[in-house]
Amino acid sequence: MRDSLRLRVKVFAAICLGAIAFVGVLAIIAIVRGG
Amino acid sequence: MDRRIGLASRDRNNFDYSLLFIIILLMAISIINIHSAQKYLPYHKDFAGMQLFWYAVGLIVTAVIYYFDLEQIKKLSLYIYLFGVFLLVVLFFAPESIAPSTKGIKAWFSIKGVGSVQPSEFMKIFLIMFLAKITVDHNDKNIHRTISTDMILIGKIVGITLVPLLFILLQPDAGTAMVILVIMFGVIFLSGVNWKILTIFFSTVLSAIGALVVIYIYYPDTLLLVLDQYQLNRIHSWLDPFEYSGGIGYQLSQSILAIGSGTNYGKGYMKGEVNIPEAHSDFIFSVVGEEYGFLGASVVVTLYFLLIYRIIVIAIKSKGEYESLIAAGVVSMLTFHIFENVGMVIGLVPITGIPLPLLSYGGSSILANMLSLTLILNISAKTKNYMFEGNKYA
Repeated sequence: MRDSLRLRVKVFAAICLGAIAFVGVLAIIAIVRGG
Repeated sequence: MDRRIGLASRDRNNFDYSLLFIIILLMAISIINIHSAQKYLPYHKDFAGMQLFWYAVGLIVTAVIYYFDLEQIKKLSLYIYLFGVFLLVVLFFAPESIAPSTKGIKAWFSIKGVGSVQPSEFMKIFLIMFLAKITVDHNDKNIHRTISTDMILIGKIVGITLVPLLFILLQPDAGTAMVILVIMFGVIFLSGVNWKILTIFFSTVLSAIGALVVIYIYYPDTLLLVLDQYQLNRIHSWLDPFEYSGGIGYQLSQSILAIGSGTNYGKGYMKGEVNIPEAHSDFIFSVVGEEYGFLGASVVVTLYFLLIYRIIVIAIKSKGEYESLIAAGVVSMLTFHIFENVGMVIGLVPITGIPLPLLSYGGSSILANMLSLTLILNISAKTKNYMFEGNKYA
């Protein structure tokens, strides 16, 4: 794989994993704190 | 490798057991929660049993497609894409007898003995496969990139996406249309287009979204030019679900009540008390939150995180650009589904009717997701095979 594509996949991965972590943490806070 | 029938040799050691393990855990969680959720429902159907059936069908599909050679799939991707568009066109013109509207949306074929089939679910992965091929072919032909070649590539990607997007918007299914757009943005980002062009492109998209927000705040009725009244009402009820809890906000307000009552360990299996419409499909995460609380929700979120992480590792390790683009396309599709679905059940984003991958009830969704993940297993096996061969001759 080209290095430029590898870099883009890594940036893209950070965005996607960050999005899941963000919404997941918000959901868990909503459950624990009562909505 | 037998090129005549397009099959690839597969070593048992090359199988990605960690990815399969995550998928099977999500399947088990799905069956347990759908079984619990169906007590709320007025349909009197065994959705858990039907979901189990679709998983079995999905695993058979997995077992078959796993042995397909990716090079053959790449060559066929144009025809697979055209088949998906053909189904969307037929669906649009089909009479109500074979494609009945459900809640004002004409997105399903009703086939006796099989049930409902939603072509747009399959269109997502068909689009990823074709966009990956177009991008790789373009980049192979244009080794020396210029602004002109990059703009042509963006034009190709946007043009190919617009055709299915148009028919999905005509259904009208705004949720699936958003997934299609996210897939397109993901492929454009990864296509190798110059960073300056990317910055201008995504700045324009974000500005357009910002403009829509400003228009909604100051001139909400203007949005009726591009949205239906029911879509605008959904936005109103999203911003204040308890104000509309007797009508359009009922589903979201019930979901927030269910989620909020879960606390640390939840109420337990089959002990959920809050009635949520469509709890077995789009709102399955509310059932997890209410019955298993912090613990259950943490397990589900962690499994999704690991699933996406594992696919990203495969995308980075894969030897070819085509494989990487398919894996990254699947990541963008799954991430948006998870973000949108979990976000909508807690009131973070408007309700769009997007299922939670592998957890929500739905045959088309299950089969399309299994098809996507089979391609990832296939890419993983090919990568490991390549690495093994590399060591052998080193």
